[in-house]
Amino acid sequence: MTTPRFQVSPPLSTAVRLRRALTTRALAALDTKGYAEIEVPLLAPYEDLRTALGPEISAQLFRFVDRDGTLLVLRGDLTPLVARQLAQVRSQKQGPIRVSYATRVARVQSAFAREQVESNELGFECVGVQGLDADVEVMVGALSLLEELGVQDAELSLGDVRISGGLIDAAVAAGAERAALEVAIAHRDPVALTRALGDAPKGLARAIAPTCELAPTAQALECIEAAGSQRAREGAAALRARVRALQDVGRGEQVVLDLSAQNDRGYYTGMRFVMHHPSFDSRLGSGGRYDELLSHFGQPCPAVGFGLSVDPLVFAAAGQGVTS
Amino acid sequence: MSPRPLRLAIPKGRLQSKTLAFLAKAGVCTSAQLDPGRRLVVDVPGAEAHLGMPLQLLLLKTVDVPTYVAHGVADVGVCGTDVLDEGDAQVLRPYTFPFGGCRLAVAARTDASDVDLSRAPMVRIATKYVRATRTLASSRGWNAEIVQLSGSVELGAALGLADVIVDLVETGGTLKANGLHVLQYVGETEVKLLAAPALAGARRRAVAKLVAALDATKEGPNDG
Repeated sequence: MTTPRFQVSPPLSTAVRLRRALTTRALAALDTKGYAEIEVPLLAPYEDLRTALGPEISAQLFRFVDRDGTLLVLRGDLTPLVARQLAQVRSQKQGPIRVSYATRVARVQSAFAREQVESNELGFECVGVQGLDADVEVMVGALSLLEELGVQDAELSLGDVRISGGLIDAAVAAGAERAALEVAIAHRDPVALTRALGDAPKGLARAIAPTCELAPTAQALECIEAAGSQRAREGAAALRARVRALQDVGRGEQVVLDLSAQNDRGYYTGMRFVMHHPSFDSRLGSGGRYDELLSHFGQPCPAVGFGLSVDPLVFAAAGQGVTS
Repeated sequence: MSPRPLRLAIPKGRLQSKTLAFLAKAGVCTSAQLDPGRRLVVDVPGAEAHLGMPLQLLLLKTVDVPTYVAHGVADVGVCGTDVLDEGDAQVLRPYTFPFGGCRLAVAARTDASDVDLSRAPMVRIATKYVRATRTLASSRGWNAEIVQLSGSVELGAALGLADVIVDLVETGGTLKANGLHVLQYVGETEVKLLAAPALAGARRRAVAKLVAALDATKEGPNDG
């Protein structure tokens, strides 16, 4: 389906039909790949999730107190809730677990923010499998899922949080301010980055500069591998391997490097990717590896997953005149 | 359906002419002179050869530029950090222009005795930059009441609405003409190229080419 930008909400009944159709199709496609559907709880005790959530995500969750005085959170970020559920399953069953889900979430947003307060999301997680093969499975799965839902030629911006994380750690050790570095990289602002680096060594400044590039090339990884920290070099090597693996399965044309990828959710530990498409003015979905999240729930275990918002796809389908 | 042109949102007024002149200098367009008449969407001649796709200008009120870029209606925009930092626009800032920089200053009437803001029991500050002023007052320990104005902020102090103003100062000429002087400079602003966060495909490549062309002028703050 070609997808012209479509800004006006379709009629309510049309939106419901389309969302149900897209979600059913997605979950069926994931089921054929071994991802069994689960339900994600609507509510969870905040205390169970507190250590697993980064400050940015914590701030976006609706919180309230139940009659017994327990602080609860409303379903906002699905990955920690799924991880908490799967940790309970893992306590009784070892081996890989593959799950999918589709549900509605609600997040606190500022008035200006692009995302709606409530949105319909679906995703899948692969728990208990480490390394390159699982990462490629999830990335290819994300591209295939979007194709199943009518979005051809999506672009996968691929990064590794260890690159920016390792470079920022090294710069902080040299006297730079962490918050200013994180903001400069998030904004891809090279002038702000230079200011934030202050008197950091020139080699480090050369290594960190590509994190602000909109279209970095493989040569940028060489700067990082030459002068970055151990952690940044690990991230760069892992990123190279994943790009090569995606090229080997014929998906190379859809991959772009993103050296600015940061641990924005607080739980990512390695590969991090975002899906875009020229016909959509917001990201379609995102995912990554989170090897330490289940340990917050007592079951240390590697994991990787992807989630997307269904609503832009519903709008696009309606804009194409599709009604069911 | 053919893809739409790359859209650059620029503020009407002073920044419009400076931006066009700089784009021409960077070789992105063939002419710094555009006569849009009353149109608000203008095609830029000569840009396609450089960027790989046609370029359109959207002529907007300054405060609306980040909105159009954050929503992806404009792919790129030109805007001062004074406007950016007052809002919550989620945009990228891949280039800083060598023009349009100003300083943020606290100013008061020249004929009034200087206010020691850290010792005053209460000071009323008139400003367009409420968020920046609130942060400033909080960080400096000022007991401040902030009055929001949308323009001609100098009058706020000149006519006694406020004790002091917080406003952008370029040469200081407007302050002096209205009987004010700078008490202290409290920040600096720059003019940034904004980019939509969800750029993909040909648009992302075109914006990367635009940034490269601007960088190639070697006039940015990092090239000093």
